[in-house]
Amino acid sequence: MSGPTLMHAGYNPVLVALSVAIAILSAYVALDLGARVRGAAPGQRWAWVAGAAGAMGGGIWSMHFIGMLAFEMGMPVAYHLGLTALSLVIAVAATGVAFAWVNRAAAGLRDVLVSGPLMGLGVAGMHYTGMAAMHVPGNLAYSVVIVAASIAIAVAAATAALWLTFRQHGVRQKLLAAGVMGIAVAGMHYTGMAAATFTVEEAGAHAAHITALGQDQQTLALAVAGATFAILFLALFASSVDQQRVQEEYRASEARFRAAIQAVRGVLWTNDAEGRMMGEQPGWAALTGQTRAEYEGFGWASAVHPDDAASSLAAWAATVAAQRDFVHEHRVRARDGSWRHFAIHAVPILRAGAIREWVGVHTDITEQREAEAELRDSNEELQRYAYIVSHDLRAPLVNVMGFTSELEETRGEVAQALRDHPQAGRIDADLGEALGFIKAAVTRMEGLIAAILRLSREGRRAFRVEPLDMTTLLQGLADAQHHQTDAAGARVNIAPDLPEITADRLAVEQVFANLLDNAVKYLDPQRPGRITVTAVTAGSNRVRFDVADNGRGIAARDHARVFELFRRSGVQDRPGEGIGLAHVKALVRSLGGRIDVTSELGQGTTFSVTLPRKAATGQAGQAGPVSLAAE
Amino acid sequence: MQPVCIVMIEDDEGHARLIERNIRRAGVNNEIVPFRDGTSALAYLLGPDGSGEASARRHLLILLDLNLPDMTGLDILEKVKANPHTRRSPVVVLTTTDDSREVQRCYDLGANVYITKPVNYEGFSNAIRQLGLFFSVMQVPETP
Repeated sequence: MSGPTLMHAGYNPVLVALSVAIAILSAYVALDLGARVRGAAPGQRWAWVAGAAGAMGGGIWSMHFIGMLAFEMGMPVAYHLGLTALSLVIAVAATGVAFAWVNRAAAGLRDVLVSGPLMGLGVAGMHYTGMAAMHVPGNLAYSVVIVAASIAIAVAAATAALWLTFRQHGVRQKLLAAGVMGIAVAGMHYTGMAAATFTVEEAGAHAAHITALGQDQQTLALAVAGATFAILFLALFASSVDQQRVQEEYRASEARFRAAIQAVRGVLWTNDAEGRMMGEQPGWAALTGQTRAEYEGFGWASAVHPDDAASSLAAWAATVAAQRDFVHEHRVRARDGSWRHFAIHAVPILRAGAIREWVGVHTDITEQREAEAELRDSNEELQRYAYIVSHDLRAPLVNVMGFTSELEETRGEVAQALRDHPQAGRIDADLGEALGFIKAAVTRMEGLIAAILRLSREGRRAFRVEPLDMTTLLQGLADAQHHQTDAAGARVNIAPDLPEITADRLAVEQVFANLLDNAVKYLDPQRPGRITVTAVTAGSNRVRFDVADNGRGIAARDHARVFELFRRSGVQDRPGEGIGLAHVKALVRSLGGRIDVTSELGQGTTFSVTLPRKAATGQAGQAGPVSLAAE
Repeated sequence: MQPVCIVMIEDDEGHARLIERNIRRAGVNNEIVPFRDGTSALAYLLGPDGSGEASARRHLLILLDLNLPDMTGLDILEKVKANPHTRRSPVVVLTTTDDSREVQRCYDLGANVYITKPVNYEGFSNAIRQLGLFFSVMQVPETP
């Protein structure tokens, strides 16, 4: 035989099967390790990427090498160590870069289109480097078309496999992805091999040698396969240990979460994307005693108070339709038949832009609501009490005053009758004095009762909130008092930049009119009076107004007392009933604010009124009408 | 013309006496029929059967205190103004409160005059005297 002879090569089927098995297993291990990357601590991420790349790249190389050994071409083959090692490096490096790219924190599905071709080219590069490492006594030629096909297979398969990696969840999907990837790698290899044509000149001379070599090849193939399997199983073992750790952490985290929900007296529940209660709801079942069949869908609503159920369902439907957070309150019948008041907060859990499910928490606020209702009741009772007392006190006063006036009429008649009596003048004077004291006392008493009545009415008045320009408002009050101010030789300075607040105008006017009036009333005659009104921001939504004077001051022991009804401090040389500051304090409280006093005897006094920028409507309005049973 | 009869419903004896004295002082000499509680006053106004027939031919003027031991004056006002035989009788509400909502409620129910009993006696007697003048010029219609 002369001239080049085309070698008729065959494959050892056992080794081929072995190579495919290695490809699939290594792909599975790579996917398994790759899945760890996202859940791993930042420092460990690259270790998992390296592990996955090693498994995949090494596996591909191992598959390729065994595939080469499975190739029986009937002539001696030797391998160049350097190039063979290089082919392994190429496989591991290309796979590593591809895995690292798709596992970046910011990676999206689109990045698969970068990583896939990269990995495919790496696999092809590895294959042809490995082929180049093969020394055969004949010649090696490639069919360009089939080489191109093998590269295309590599790129497509790698992309598909990485894409599967991205969306795989369970073991089955992982197995599918691994199968696709493994078969694709093997397919690429054997396509690549098909692209090669071996020719030999002296085939016959080496016939005997081949048999011997065939034996060696099988041993080598089994050794490589064994080592690869061992490494892959070790990797899988490491992965499963990590998996257990992750699951342990997950269980601990879930237990922690449930404990936290319970600690805030909450009941956790979930609904499907359409807002239907589905599956096991241990919290809800324990709260209401409803069975799964009873609460599923919208059955939960039958455990909600009949007065609240319809509105709750409507609000929930609107929330689900709008895909927003759910904030609601309603009463739920507990297992023991009692009605409990709950605040509900639910949020949609999104996955890839769509709602996957709803998670909500019912928080028991029954005690809070009861305490509020009690407070409201006692407030109302107090107001009613003040109202009744003041009216019932007034009725006898009408008599005292009325009959005192009758006595005055009689006094004239007595004087007439005693006209000639020697003591007539003294008797008349005595009568007059007694009647005068009685009338003065009654007048004072009536003033006090009227003040209590006014206070109780003030508590019931519904506030109308409006934006108030405080500089204008206070300047108006100061101007209205300018007669008294001028008479006292004092000056009132209102800061020009007082902030605007939203509150009830009448109440705010009464508060500051009282404070300004007091400031003017209790100036120190020793020095010219100076009264200033300034404001500072207090917290995020509050403003503190300071009404400061340089007047006579209030002794420290009286600081709390000045806010009490009918109490006055210092020298009693000014007219007043001791109502003003009690009234001011009640008003400020209704406005949702507070009032404090700082003062030094002989130096001056500062009353600080802290008010919300945006006032609530005030409890006064919410209390509702008080019945007039007293009348 | 039959003289007008003044029905005074007032539980406070002192108030009743003061009112009477001031009415007399104003020169009004009409008969005054006093009641200390709502039940007996209603029995007189609407008759024992509650039909109001008893007042069919009376000329009445009612002085009404709102704070009564057995009911509120508002109950009486409502019944008087709802009954066809008594609804044309003028009702003067005399009470200690000047609560605006209550004043409003009385007028809504058909009260003709609302007078606050002031502690300031001058004001009170003035009001009653003016009421006396009011009586003297007033033509109280005979109830049908």
